[in-house]
Amino acid sequence: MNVAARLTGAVACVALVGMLARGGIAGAILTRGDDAARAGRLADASAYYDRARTIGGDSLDEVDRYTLLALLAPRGRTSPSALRSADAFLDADDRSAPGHFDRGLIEWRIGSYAASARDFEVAWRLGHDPRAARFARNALRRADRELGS
Amino acid sequence: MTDIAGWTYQAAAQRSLFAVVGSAALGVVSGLGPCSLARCMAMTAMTGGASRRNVAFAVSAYAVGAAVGYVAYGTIAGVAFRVAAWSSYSYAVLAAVLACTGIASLVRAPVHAHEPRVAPIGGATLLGLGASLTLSPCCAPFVVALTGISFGDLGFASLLLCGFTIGHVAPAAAMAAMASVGRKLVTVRPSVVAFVTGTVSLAMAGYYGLLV
Repeated sequence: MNVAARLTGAVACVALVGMLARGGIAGAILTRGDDAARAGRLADASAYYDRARTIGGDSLDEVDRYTLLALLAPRGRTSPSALRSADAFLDADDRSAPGHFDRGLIEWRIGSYAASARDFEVAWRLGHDPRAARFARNALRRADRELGS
Repeated sequence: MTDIAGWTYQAAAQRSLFAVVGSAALGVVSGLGPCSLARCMAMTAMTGGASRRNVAFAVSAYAVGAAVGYVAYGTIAGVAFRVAAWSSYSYAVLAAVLACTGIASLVRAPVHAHEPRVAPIGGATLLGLGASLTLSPCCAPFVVALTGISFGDLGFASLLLCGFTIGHVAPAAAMAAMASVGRKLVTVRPSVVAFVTGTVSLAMAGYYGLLV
């Protein structure tokens, strides 16, 4: 094999392995994001989660992480990727109670209380988690208060 | 894996010696991850064709190097967290070095087989120390958790991290032993070895590049 053939073969093998091991690579990047979040570097964590999402696609793991970041970040500083990730995940799997619960929390942090109440209600119907019912009631109360003011 | 980790952390919190066994199990689990492949490759390259005794010495030296590094995290306050903060730079350097060695292997495929007769013990120790310095996503959560749980108890922290090291170097030791035996039994064309080494190095460079 000459040099060009070896290099082409190597690049093809690396691309193939990269495609096959997408899930594992995304998982490792998520762990890096978790480490950054634990160290208080929320912007770095968000960047790692974005990268993991680009490579591995939308999964409940990413939505969970974005939700945690949304809860940790100051109000008004929620990453736009958080809601996008939850939307994309629920587009693919609309019957996920944890997915609806997570999106409800993100929407709560953004201030979309009516949407948050809807998601908590769906999460309660799908998963029968009493916390979701309580959160739905609270979100509905906040939504009414917002409308009233 | 979460069960083993949870069980180990509980045992460590109760200062039970079972936690050392659990740490070793966590070491094996993390030693099988993709992050450890570069270390396994390096050990395999070092010990290929060496005698069984020499391989045992080299693997022990590698384990000692790694144990010193990991125990340093557990005993020197905050080192694990500082190293974790620098990890982006160490991953960038590692990715660049792996990419360069991968391309060099692919471009300069050897014509004659080169059989190292003696595995360098000092090199193996440095490799172990260097491996522990690049806290990878496979092992970092366990090392940080074990360090955190046993914080303030130097002896117990050292014991846990030594147990972790024994498990963590086991896959590399197994690969080194297999490579040593395999190279005596089977003759592989040097160009094939260079192609495989170069390709794996490039793949690892890409992997670490994504973790920067």
